[in-house]
Amino acid sequence: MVYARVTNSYMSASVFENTNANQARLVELQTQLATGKRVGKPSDDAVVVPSILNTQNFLAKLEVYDKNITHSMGELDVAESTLDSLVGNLQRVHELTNQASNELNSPSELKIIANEIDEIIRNVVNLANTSYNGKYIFSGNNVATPTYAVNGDDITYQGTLPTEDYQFEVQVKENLKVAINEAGVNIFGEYYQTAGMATPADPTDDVFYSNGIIGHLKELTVDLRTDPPDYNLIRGKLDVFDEDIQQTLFYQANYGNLINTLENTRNQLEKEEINAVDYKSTLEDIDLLKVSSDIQFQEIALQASLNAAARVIQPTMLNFLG
Amino acid sequence: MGNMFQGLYTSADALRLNQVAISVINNNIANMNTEGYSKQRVDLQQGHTMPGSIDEKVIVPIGGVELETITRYSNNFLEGYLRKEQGTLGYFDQMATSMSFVEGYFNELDETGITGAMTAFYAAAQELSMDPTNKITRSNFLQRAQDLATEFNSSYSRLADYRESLVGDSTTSSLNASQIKTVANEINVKLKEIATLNDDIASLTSQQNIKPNALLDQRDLLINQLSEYIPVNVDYEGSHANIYVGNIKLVEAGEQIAEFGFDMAASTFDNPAVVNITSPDGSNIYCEDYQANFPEQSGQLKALLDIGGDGVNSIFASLQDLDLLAQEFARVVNDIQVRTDATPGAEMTSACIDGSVSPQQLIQATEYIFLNVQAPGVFDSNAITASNIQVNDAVVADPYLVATAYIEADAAPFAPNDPNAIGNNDNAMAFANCRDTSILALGGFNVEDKMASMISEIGSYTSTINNSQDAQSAIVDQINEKKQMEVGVNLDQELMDLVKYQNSYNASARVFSIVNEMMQLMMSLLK
Repeated sequence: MVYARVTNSYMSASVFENTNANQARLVELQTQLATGKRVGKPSDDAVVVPSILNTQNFLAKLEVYDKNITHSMGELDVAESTLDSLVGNLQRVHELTNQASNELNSPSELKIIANEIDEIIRNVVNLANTSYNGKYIFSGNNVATPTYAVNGDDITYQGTLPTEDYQFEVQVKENLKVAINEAGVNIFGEYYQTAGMATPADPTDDVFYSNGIIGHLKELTVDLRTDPPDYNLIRGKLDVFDEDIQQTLFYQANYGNLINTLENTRNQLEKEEINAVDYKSTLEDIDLLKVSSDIQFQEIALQASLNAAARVIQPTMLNFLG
Repeated sequence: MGNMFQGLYTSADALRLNQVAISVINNNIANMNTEGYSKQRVDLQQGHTMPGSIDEKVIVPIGGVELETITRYSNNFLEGYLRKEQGTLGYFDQMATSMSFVEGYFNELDETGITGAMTAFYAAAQELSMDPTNKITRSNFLQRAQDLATEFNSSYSRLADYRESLVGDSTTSSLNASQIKTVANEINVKLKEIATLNDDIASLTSQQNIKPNALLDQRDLLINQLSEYIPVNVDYEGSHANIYVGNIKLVEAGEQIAEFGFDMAASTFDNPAVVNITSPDGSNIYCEDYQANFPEQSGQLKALLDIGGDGVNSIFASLQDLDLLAQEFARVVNDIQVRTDATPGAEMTSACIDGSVSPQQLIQATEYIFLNVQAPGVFDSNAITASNIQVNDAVVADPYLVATAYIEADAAPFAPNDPNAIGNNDNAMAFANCRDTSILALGGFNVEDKMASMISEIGSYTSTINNSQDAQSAIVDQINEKKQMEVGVNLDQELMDLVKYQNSYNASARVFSIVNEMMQLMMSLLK
């Protein structure tokens, strides 16, 4: 057998290569362990890079949707409690109407009731003009304008009309937008007697325009102040306000349903987030157990190679020549 | 024994030659770690038997020992093989270094850089859609837009600066400061040194019949170093080494007949460094464009030209990708900002807020969000690149000019009491959702996916290069080891030889002293 000529520079070069390779692998494992990431730079595993970035983008979207939901819930909560107060007011109106329909009431007593109704109308208008975060929530998209303007007897709706684009949509999920507002005029109605307003009525007509809760309340005050009073007419209003309460409860329930929907959506988002985080982790994170044991193995390999090198490099014939 | 004095001479020669042998060993040991050193060996031969040494029927061997030559261990085949593989390694070494820089500039896995800025921009757009009338939300949206533009600018300039450090930017001053210029100079210097060495070696060999081993080592080392820059071929002609690259002769005997230079007339921004090969006085052009004529992936010079040029995996390609990305991103955003839609019966338009009147009202949006910084006031998305993208100053000055609404353009549009009023967020929503718009110019990707695919492509190319470098480095190591096995110094062997020649020296000295004693005895007989 012919042996290769093993020269000293060959030996030191190969010792260096081997220990260096072991050291490089060790450093790589240590970096992985320290960062917890298998993919620290794109070239570590270029194939999964788009998936990692996509998941990152997706997670960022989820975060934004979650914020949108929080913000919307705030507004919806305010709207719902506003309608709650409105129902309270309407119940009081119903009581007063019931009281007024009693024919023992004199016209002056009815006027006192009418004054209280006036107060309630002011309350209702205030409720309708509720703002959240600087936006009038019942004004449709006309957010910077108070929902109602009061001018003498006229109570005019200034928000976006239901026939126009009044809905304020919020993105709460991939491909899911919800409208979180209702046009105030649908809930509160209006009452005016002026020409030229932008309403469904013919603007050229100088007509009396009365509609919804505000309309009914205004009409009631007119009826109460009529002398002699028409008690039957007043009694007839009881059914009207019953309907108004029902309708308000309906809108309130709508807001409640929306809040529920958003809560459900939030739960879904949380689940999606957990899944996405999990997926991202399988893409880029290390298997801690495996890397730890790899490191130990690599340490042993490095020590062994250093040990062997120390034995091989040292002795020459010099050690033995006298 | 013929002549007694002859005996003295034989011993003296032996002493002298053993001394030479020991000094060669000494030199081997001294140079055992010198780069490019080849082990040398003393070859001895038997001396000629002189006339007069014939004694009757027998020829008595009294010629003694002679120095035949001092042999240098070398293997031209291995050298050639090593040079070839070293050239390839030089290519991949340079590529790997460059790609690790480029990859570093694109390392966006930690949610920084362009990707991070895009995410923040789209999040700000969503916030804008939640609160379109809020000036702070609008400012925030524009701030994120400017952050993104700045990220585009700085990513571009970092890449462009790195490229300039490699191959310049087609100006003479930047070329002179570039790495490729240094490499070309190195090549020329080495060619010159090889030519000079050729001369020295030839004159020593032919005139004085000496083998200049040290010079031969030096020349081999130079050619080796040269092969890391360019794929050289060597043609040994007598004691000369003629150097070629491809079939272009660079060194012939003692003369450097070609040198590497730059064709500044052909230099463009796309391809700043055009390397040519000319005669030193420039009168003859042997190769007009090194990169085009030497397709082989060999040598650092070729790597610099590939990464610095305008090829597929060059930095220039990444710069172009960035430009395209910035432009298409800006186009999508600008188009949403000033969009109109002529649906029959209901013409739709984007609208921003006129904040100067009270109550605020919508007006048609005309200002772009993104502009070319060099052409402020010019609304042209085609003029936008990664290096010049910037948010329109007019919009920054008045954030209400961001078109958040998308409404029907009435006959009397945007009247103060228009029911389509300022809270409309349809256009803001469009900003937020344009992240999913697939863009034809980006190959059907949306901007984020395009960015991800760019990063992935760079990563995958880097990893290919790294693998090639690893493999090639293993090959070169192997050849180097093989070479070291053949020409390297083995200390044990040298020590053994040392003892051998020492013993021989001792013995010759002993013989000398015996002959001397014999002569003295003879002298005493004469008394």
